[in-house]
Amino acid sequence: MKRPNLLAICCNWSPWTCLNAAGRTNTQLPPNLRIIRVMCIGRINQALILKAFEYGADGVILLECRDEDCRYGPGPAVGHSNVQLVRSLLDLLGIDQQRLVECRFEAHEKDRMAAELWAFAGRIEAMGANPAKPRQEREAV
Amino acid sequence: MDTRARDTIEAVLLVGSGYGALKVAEDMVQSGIPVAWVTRSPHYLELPEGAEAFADWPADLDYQFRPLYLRVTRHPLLTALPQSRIVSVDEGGKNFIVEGEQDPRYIDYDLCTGCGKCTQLCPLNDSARPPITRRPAQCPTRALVLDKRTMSACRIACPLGVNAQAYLALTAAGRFEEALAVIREANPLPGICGRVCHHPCEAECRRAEVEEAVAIRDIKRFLADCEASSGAAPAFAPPAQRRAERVAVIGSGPAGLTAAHYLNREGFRVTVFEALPQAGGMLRAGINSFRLPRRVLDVEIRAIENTGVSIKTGTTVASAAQLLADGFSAVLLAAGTQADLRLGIPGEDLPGVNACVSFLRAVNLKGSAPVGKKTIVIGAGNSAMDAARTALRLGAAHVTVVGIEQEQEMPAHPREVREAREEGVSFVLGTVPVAFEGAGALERVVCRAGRWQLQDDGSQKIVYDSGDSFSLDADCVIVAIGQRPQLKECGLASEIATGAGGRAVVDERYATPVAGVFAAGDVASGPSTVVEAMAAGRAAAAGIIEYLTGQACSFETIPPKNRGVGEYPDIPESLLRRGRPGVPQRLPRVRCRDFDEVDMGLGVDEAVAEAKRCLQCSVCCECRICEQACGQISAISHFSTARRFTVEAPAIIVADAHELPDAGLLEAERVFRVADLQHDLMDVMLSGSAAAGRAMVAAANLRRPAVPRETDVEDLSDEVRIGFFLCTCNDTLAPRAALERVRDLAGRVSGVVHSELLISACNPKGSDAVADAMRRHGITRVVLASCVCCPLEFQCISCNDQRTRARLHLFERLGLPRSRFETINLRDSLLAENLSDDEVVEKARDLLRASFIRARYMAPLMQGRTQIGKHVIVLGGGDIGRSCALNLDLQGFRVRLVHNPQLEAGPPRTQHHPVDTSGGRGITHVDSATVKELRGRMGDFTIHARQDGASRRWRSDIVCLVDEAVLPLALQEDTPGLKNLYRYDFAFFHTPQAGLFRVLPHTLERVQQFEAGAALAAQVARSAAEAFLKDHLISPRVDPQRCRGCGRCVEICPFNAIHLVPGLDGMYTAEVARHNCVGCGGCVGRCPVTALDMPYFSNQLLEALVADALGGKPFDEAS
Repeated sequence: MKRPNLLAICCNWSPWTCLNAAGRTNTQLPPNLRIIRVMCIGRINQALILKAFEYGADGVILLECRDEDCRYGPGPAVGHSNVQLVRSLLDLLGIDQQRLVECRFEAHEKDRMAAELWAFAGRIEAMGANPAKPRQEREAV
Repeated sequence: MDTRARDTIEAVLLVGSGYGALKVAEDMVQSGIPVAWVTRSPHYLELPEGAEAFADWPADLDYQFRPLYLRVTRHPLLTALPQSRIVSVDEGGKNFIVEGEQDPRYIDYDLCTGCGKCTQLCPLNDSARPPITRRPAQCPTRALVLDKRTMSACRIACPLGVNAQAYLALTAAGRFEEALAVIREANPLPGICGRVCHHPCEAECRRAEVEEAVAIRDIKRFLADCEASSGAAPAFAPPAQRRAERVAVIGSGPAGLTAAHYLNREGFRVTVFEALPQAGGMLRAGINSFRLPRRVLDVEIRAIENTGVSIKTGTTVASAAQLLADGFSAVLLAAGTQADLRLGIPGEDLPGVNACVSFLRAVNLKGSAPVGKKTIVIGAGNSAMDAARTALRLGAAHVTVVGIEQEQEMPAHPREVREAREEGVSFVLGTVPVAFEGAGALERVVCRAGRWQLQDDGSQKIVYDSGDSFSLDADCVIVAIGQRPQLKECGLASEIATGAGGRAVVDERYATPVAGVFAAGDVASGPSTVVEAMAAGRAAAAGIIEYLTGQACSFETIPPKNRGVGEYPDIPESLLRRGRPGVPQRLPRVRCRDFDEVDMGLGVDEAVAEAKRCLQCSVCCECRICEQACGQISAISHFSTARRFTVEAPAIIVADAHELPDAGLLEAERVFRVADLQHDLMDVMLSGSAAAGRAMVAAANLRRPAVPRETDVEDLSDEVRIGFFLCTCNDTLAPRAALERVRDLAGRVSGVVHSELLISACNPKGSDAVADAMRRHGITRVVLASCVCCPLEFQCISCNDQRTRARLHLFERLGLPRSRFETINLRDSLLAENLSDDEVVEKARDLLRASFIRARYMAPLMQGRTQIGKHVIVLGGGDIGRSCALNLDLQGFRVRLVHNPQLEAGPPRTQHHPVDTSGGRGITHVDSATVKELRGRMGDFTIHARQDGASRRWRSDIVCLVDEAVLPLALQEDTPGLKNLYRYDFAFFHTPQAGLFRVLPHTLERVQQFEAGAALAAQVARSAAEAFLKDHLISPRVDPQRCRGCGRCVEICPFNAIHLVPGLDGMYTAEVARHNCVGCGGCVGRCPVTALDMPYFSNQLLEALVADALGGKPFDEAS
């Protein structure tokens, strides 16, 4: 059976520092998690998050800085508002809101990040395939 | 970058390190004024107490100072002179003339990649005081620093300059082959010297201050034995190039062999002539096999022969001139002292009276010599001891040494005396033989008690203690009172001049008066030691090379006195006393029966433990293994020298008065002081800015507009031809085989036309390779995998010097187009320990996916410029406004100073600042005005105001808000999203908007108003005098068809960079003010209808990344 498709969108700053630290210490992360890096989580618009589900994501997690750590200022606030808005749309589409989460980290929290990512992977695996996907893809999960 | 190389610099002089100094340097160079920064410390920031690494800093300090440090230290207008001292300051003329000196920098800061390979290979890296360190650890540069102190005393004491400290360090680390190689560099006969050298090194050993000198010679012997027992034959590298000239060496003793070796190493064809049937000279004929086994001698002579030196034994040379006539270009006479000195007393020709050299020669070459039952050896030197012990081994029942000297005065080494005595040799000292007597053969030696007496002319004379004489029975005597050259006997004396004792006369380069004929060793110096003869041989070889090539030659590259910085470190208090190990010896009664070796040498554990006793006096042992590790990076040079420099300075800024040669200088005009830390860093930084502002006035004529390179907008519609470059960080990133697999995988990606491993991206050789490959392969897009995270002209909190440098090389030095580069930081992920090759490849493959997608969606990064004029409006008078305005006026700005500004709806004024128009001819004074509106951007501000009832419109490039009444014109710090922004600039003077400055009440609590005005002026000059605002195309674009003017983007932008403007049909549309935009993309993310996009990081690219992540195959399998 195929494992669920997980996508992490990662801010370049504190969360990416955690990922780098995880890389340096060879900390294991869920193997079915794909990560894309963006300059600031505020850069992600609602359309892109929806696209992720369209392209077959079973779960999407936004890795953000804490509000007070944002190198630009508005990033986490924008990320948060986008997550809230997209979640209500997911509801309309019949996709469980829990498939989209955001999580905030300080630069030194690599272990907590790894734990959060594994927990996220576990929750999505328990939920099964994204019901909005075509049936064949769903059943493959 | 190359401002470092200049030796006379016209610049403002900045003295001392620290935060205040950093701020001064930043303000000065960013305002276009060159700075020469002199400090004794190796880095510009000392870490706060208790912090050993930048990572230990409070995060906000790191966030603020890391980018600042990098920006400043790599600024083209900064001449960085760390580890420097000011020698003198001449205050006489228009400028201060400052002379200074910079310590040698053994690791080139501009080249070191910080890969750390050298530390891994340094034999002292695990010691208590590693010579190569990062100081401080994780400073924004990874570059390393080498601690090399004054050269160690043992090395200076060695006539050959053998680097004892280095081979002890390597031995202590168990690296015996490398240790032996260090010895062989300066001494081609380690096995021989390890046994018979008189080790002057040990006499100087500092360990003797604790207990006993390190057994340096025994370790040398151990190393040579270690090689021999491994079965490996000693080998020297053959000469790189052969030369035509032939050189003849007469004599194959230590001087001749050493000279032959070094001449041959330099490519000359050397023939050694030896009169005896076997090579080795005194090493063989004069030193017994029980001290120096023949196999050791044979092996080391053969090693020299094997590199191409030809040794002709049994060949006596009677004429140097004939050799020159036979085609030798030069002749070295190294024949030693083969003739014994005679006592000149009656009976010396009686049978049974022998001479030492001929006695030993007979034993050592023919295997035997006659001795009697009662043998007397006359003389108390090492040769006498050798003769005595040999006589015992040949069967003499009683051997007695008769010497004039008393026990403590004997020239023989105490160890030799002790060993002779142990074997049964008896001593009669203070005794002068006066006659040999016997009927037809020797029967007795007549002696008198006596001693040496020093004469006024420095010579020694024998004086007798009494008139009595006594006799010692003897049937054999060996006279061992010294030797002399045999030049007369062989005929050479007729060709070259001979001096005292029949010795050859030479000059300081070992040349005799006959052109082309040189002489060295005992033949010129009289009897000496093995190592002294070798040193003379080597120096004579240098003299011959100079004679033949006309070029200076020295086998010591720099005289010792110029090497190293600082004194030896103190002997650590934690040191434990531990004596040196005795060398195992065969029992005296056993060893005196044969000619086998007496000493057995140290075992492995003993040698390692003994080498660990070395105090490593000069810290760096100069084994130079780090140079090999550094390889092509070539950042390490042990032969760097101190550098002198001159600064012609219109002003001096002192951040640390202790670094001045004379504190009186602080009283001089145009010398400004940065205050010491009082409350917190902000005070120091403010004070730094104030000093910078005042110095700018004095140095205004040095200001150069820092015009950025203007580039066209790149047309990226050309064919996608990707070049992939992977930095190996000097082969430390990952195993080469794994990186080669990554390179080959990348080479198979569609669109990739070239794939290459770089030695290092931050080394000029690496960037040259990129530029070269781009040309050769017509590459239009580059994926650079290294530690560099972005190609932008920008330093952030994760940046370091190597990343900055790589970009400077690629984009500034070589002028390659930034827009065509995708950079990905693989280093951090691949450096993990214990990764298998497969894991390395998988990690790289994973990280590179996005890069290859990005390479297809590149957008131009425009680099243009916006000119900023020199008009400044200062809103607010008082001391601070006036100070700022006057300062700017003197710097050449046009200033409008509004003494009493207020806002239309603001609170009524409580204090009136009088208009003082003294000074500042260029200032336009306005008593009071009511500001209605401030709009625009840096370089183009407009203020609408009412003055005396009339409406005014003032244009300005820069605006300063000095009066509390007008502070609301700036964005407030508590604007959402700005609350805790980590930008120290915001702490004083700066606002979130470029070109708009302010003075907050809490700033004035820290400094006096006059200083604050100067500091503010420095900030204004910094942003304006650069004259051009660097202008990147990273801000978003608005699609007017989609924008519905909801204003959500305006709400969240903390930088005042996006506004709503009325459109054609009355609808409002967002418009981006790119001068204020920082490019975070918050507005793009916030836009509910995707009306905003950033070309450089587009929605299309993001969608492609998401699509790839969720469905794509690995890049090398796709397509």
